[in-house]
Amino acid sequence: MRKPLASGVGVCSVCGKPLSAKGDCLTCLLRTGLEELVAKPEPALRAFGDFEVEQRADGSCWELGHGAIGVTYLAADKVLRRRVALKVIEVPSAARGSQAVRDRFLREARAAAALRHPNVAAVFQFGTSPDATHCYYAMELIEGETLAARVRRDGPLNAKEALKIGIQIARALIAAASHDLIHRDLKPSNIMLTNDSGVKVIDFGLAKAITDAGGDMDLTHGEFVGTPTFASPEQFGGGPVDARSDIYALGGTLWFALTGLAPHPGRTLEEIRDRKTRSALPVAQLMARRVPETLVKLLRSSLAIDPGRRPASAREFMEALELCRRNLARRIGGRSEEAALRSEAFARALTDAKARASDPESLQALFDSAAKKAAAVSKKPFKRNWAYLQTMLRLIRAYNRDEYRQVSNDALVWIIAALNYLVDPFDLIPDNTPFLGLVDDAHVVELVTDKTRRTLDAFMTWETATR
Amino acid sequence: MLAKLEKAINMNIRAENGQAHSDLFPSTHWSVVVAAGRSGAEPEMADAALAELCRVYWAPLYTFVRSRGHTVHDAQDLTQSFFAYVLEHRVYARADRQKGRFRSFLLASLKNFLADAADRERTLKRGGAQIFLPLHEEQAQDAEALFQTYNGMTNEDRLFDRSWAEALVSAALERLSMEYKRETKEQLFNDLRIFIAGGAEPPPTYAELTNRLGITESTLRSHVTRLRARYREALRAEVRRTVDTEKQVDQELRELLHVLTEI
Repeated sequence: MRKPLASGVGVCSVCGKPLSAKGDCLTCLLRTGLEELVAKPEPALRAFGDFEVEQRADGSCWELGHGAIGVTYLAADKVLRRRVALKVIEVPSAARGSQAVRDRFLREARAAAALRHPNVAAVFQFGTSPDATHCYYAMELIEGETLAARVRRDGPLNAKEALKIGIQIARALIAAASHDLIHRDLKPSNIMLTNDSGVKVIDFGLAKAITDAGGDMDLTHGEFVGTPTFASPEQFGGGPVDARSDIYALGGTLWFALTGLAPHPGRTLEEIRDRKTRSALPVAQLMARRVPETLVKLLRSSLAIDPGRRPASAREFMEALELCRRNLARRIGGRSEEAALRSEAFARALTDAKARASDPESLQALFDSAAKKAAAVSKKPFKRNWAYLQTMLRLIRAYNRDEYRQVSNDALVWIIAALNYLVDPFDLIPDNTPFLGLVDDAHVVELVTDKTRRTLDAFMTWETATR
Repeated sequence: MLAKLEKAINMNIRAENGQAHSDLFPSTHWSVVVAAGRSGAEPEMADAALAELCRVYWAPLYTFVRSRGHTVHDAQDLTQSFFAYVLEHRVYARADRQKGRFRSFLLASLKNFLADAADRERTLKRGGAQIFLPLHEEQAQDAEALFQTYNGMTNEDRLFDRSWAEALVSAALERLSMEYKRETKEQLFNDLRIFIAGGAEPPPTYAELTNRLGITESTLRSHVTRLRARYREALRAEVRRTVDTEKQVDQELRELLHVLTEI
């Protein structure tokens, strides 16, 4: 039997569970105490069907992550000899003996496993342990990070990046619609950004399966299935939901990607529900981030209280996102063309840098040449550039002395390419390049975080003219 | 006896506050109390240790009494009286160590105590508990707030368990906070606390924190990892005080987690 919603209790932004009177999340706090246990389950629980949880050097299980509903491990598929992500959910004792519960889980998981799409993490296999204490499913192993982690680390994305991600999620929703599948728990932490700039939605359709496996143990609490912050208003009622709930959640997810904030945050379930149904959307947040008007309009419609006023289908939503992307590209067309040309030049510099990476003498010559170029320019406007260059040199020298072993070869290549190109005035080096943040150098931090490298445009003009 | 007991309690409180020693691992254990109570050796120290444990877990007992329909003042008096009763009658000497847990012992004892109308009337006539555990106004207010927050959401046993979970993590966090304070890293603890305790607002981005704290991302990651590890140990140590075996620590945490996910 479901319990009434908590009154006056906050909701944790991490796991969605009610907060204590002091504003702490008891669930997160208790779960931390069990982390060691979770990482080291009994040997008997290391194997699930064809899958075996991999171990770290110290013998602990290789945990990839854990959420409100289970733990995800790195595991080996013993039959097909490949690595997978294995999600393991402990079934509450009250539901263990129930064949109906088991059947419901298997039925829902089977539907999820039937979905195959480039933007959906494939579910390879699923099942329950022989003693019915656990259910599990093996998913495609994705190298990358979640959208939530990316925004947490780097801050909000720009409109172009958000649209690129949103379109891929919408494609996943279109594929799901053809299988009559609804995600029910679409949110930034269920969106994986792969290392090759792709997007994969995880846990598709499994929210329902897991809920069924857990009997009365919902993903969160009360009548709620999902994560309150990103869920549609109709999900709070516990009534039937359709694909338009996922469109609402995608709107909220994109809002978060663009602002770093949820459109309707709240301390309690009731507060979130009330805000979703009564409060106006804080559009000023989008304006402050200079989100294009067409995209603002689209997000507003996707977050409409009435499902009938949202885009009718994932396809319609995706087409609207595509239109936003084309408008944006037209707006910055001229600039993009110029940037593309310079990207080409930078790509050449990168290739050259790869060749020089293992040759300290060549590196030194490169720096000397860059230093001469910089010295030839009027000093004042390029003061920051000079400091940046010097920092780069210190990094490389330190690297050659084995002092910065944590600087990866890839990072070094980026550094050298930047040196070769002298600087990176057009933000061609990704902000998440590993070397950034590894150095306690105020100049680098300032230059990177404040994008002050744009001030070096003038230098580029000079360099192009003298080439 | 009372003077000695008060001295022992104060000694414990000073130790808890980091004045006498600073340690993530509390020395007072339920199993030690039971063993001391049974052997009869150093009963005053056993009483003091038990009193210290009771101080930490005062709020769950209070919320349980309140959930039985008693007024604020009656519930305060009854809770105080209950502790006095436990200590006075050395009830813990009869506890079954095999059944182990301090939480179960206290709840069962409290139920018996409340069911005994004669005891309750007698203690109320006495004007409530006057000895053993000093009741601070803040402590009483926190306990009442806890009751008001969760009352009506679930049955009285679950309310007790939930309050217990809150008292447990509070004790662990407080102990850890003291440790960081002792190391003059109180600010760091406060800045990173959200990574273990969660909250309504999402945690700050690493970029925000590295800027604010003036450290690199790798250093920040290392601080957060260390904080999680230390908190984990503090929490498990706190649970270890109330159970008998390491396996029971796991069971206790799992049970409490289960209670929370039910609400």
